[in-house]
Amino acid sequence: MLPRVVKITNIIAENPYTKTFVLDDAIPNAMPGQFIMLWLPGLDEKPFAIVARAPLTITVAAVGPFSRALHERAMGDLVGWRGAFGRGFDLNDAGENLLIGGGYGVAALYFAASELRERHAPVTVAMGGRASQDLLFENRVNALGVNVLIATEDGSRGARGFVTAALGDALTRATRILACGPEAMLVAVMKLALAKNIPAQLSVERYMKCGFGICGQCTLSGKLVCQDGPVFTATELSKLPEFGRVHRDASGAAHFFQGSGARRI
Amino acid sequence: MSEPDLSVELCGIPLRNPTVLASGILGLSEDLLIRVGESGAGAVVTKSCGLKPRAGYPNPVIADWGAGLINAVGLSNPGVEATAQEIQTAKHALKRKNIAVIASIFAESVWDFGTVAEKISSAQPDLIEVNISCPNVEHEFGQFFCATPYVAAQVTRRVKQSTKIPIIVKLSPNEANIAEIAKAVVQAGADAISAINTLGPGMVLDIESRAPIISNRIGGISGAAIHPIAVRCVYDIARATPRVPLIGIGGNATARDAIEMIIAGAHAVGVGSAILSRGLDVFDEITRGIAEYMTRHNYARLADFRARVLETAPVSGVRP
Ligand SMILES: Cc1cc2nc3c(=O)[nH]c(=O)nc-3n(C[C@H](O)[C@H](O)[C@H](O)COP(=O)(O)OP(=O)(O)OC[C@H]3O[C@@H](n4cnc5c(N)ncnc54)[C@H](O)[C@@H]3O)c2cc1C
Ligand SMILES: Cc1cc2nc3c(=O)[nH]c(=O)nc-3n(C[C@H](O)[C@H](O)[C@H](O)COP(=O)(O)O)c2cc1C
Ligand code: FES
Repeated sequence: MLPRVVKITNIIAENPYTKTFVLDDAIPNAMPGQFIMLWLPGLDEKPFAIVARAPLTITVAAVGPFSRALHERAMGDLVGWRGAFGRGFDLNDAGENLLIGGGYGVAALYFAASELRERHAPVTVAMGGRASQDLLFENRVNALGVNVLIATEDGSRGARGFVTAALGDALTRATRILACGPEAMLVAVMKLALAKNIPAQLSVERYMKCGFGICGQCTLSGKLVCQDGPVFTATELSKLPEFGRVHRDASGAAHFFQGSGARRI
Repeated sequence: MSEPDLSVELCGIPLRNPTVLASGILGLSEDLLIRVGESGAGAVVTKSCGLKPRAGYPNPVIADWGAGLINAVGLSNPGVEATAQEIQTAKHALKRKNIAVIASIFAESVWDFGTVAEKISSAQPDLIEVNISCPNVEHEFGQFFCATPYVAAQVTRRVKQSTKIPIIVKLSPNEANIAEIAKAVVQAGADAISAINTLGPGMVLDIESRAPIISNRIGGISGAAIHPIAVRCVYDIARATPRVPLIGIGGNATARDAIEMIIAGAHAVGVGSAILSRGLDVFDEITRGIAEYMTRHNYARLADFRARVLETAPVSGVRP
């Protein structure tokens, strides 16, 4: 499958460093948790979670050269995409859903939340950020009519601390957890889910090249994040020694995550 | 008749079946090498490693254009030391299962080929595959090592002097006469040959933006599209160097493709791009299909049909 090159039809600023890009295309069969490879011809191509199917939408935080270049693009500019790739969230057998997101991870969870709402499943979305300006998608999630919990590390909005501090009795009610965010947050959620015996699905990131299971670049202890993931169950992740510890760069060299705060929550 | 025997021996290394994971596909980490081995491959080859870590080119580095893949990864690799460690772990796990681990190496100069070979040998891979489809930075125009029989033989000699482990030289279909190069590297000491590396270079363009799809603009072609060319190369090499073990690579996706390679002269068959469409079951599927074919034809061993192309007279004496 070659990339499809289409126009950007809308750009929405979500917070000081995150923008949503709406493309002149649709991706009818995509599931929440799946991703696309977004191509800026002549520059690079990077993975981003799908936020909506029609029109195809992604939400991008400016963190480096590629995402900053994308932020400079204007409506009408051409971008390429291919996908949908990977295994998304399994939303069958709806129960009491607790969705836990950090940073831009909330955008992928918004897609899951809107799917679950269409199935009339009860949903709580817990979102975290460093300060209130780091929060993302709060209005959109509210508009879905779901229960929203907020935490900020500096206490400027909601509970003070990491997103896990805001969960309260949503955790006791939950029969399923979906999570997307920095790996340190995912490790905390995995431990919580295993301890409380709540089935959990977590979306993991690793460096990607092909996106379709050929290059091996995205290996997570032998699982291919682009194909076997990016969504894994907490039980699966608990058996993968590299989860929470080791990631690989573009050369394939393995690195340890620095402490637990490798990326901010 | 009893079960056909699908085992082969490559330079003294026994393989339980003739399927081999091709270099550059999945073989990035010990866990992946083990996973591919356990899924059915007779041997696994690492991604080619060089002296120093290399990030490679920016994305896209691989594209699926419909009838095959195009790739220019830029020889990304974590460096020979890191790869040696991965090999050590993989070998430990795969040895018990009789699955061979082959280290693939490349370098930027004839001299460095020896250095990389020496370093990778510390991990005791079963075999070393020498990837000569890469540019010689000491050459004025960055000519590939595979471009002339002379330089290909120089690399072979240098690697042979640097290791006691048997070496496979991997040939490119893109340069000169592949049979001539095969002869030259065998004379220089190659213990085995593998062929082919990717064909090309080729180019795939996006017609909306008019941009080349992969960042390097041009890249090597692999997959179904190149299979007939790979079979012809294997046929030519097998006739030029008949006693030398040969791994036939290029577009192998089914047992039929693999059997064709063996009839043309291959001892073992490499599988790369087909993993995209067939998944990791491809190794088992090929092995089972070859066994069925052998039973049907009453072949007890692979040697019973290897290098047995029915010699028909060509219509004209000249190749198209
Ligand atoms: C499955 C998946 C889904 C993602 N979804 C989103 C999303 O919805 N929104 C969003 O803003 N970001 C998302 N990302 C992360 C996004 O791909 C990176 O932020 C982006 O590639 C950064 O590129 P850069 O050049 O701007 O920054 P760089 O400075 O190059 O890198 C910044 C960070 O991004 C990582 N990164 C860089 N290149 C890649 C690559 N090829 N593959 C994976 N990670 C890479 C680096 O390891 C580093 O941690 C996702 C990543 C994955 C793997
Ligand atoms: C993505 C990709 C990466 C590759 N990397 C290497 C490599 O590092 N070293 C090498 O010798 N060959 C490499 N090759 C070539 C393959 O090993 C193989 O020779 C070629 O793809 C033909 O086989 P196939 O059609 O089964 O893929 C690569 C091929 C692909 C598609
Ligand atoms: S990105 Fe290539 S295998 Fe996952």
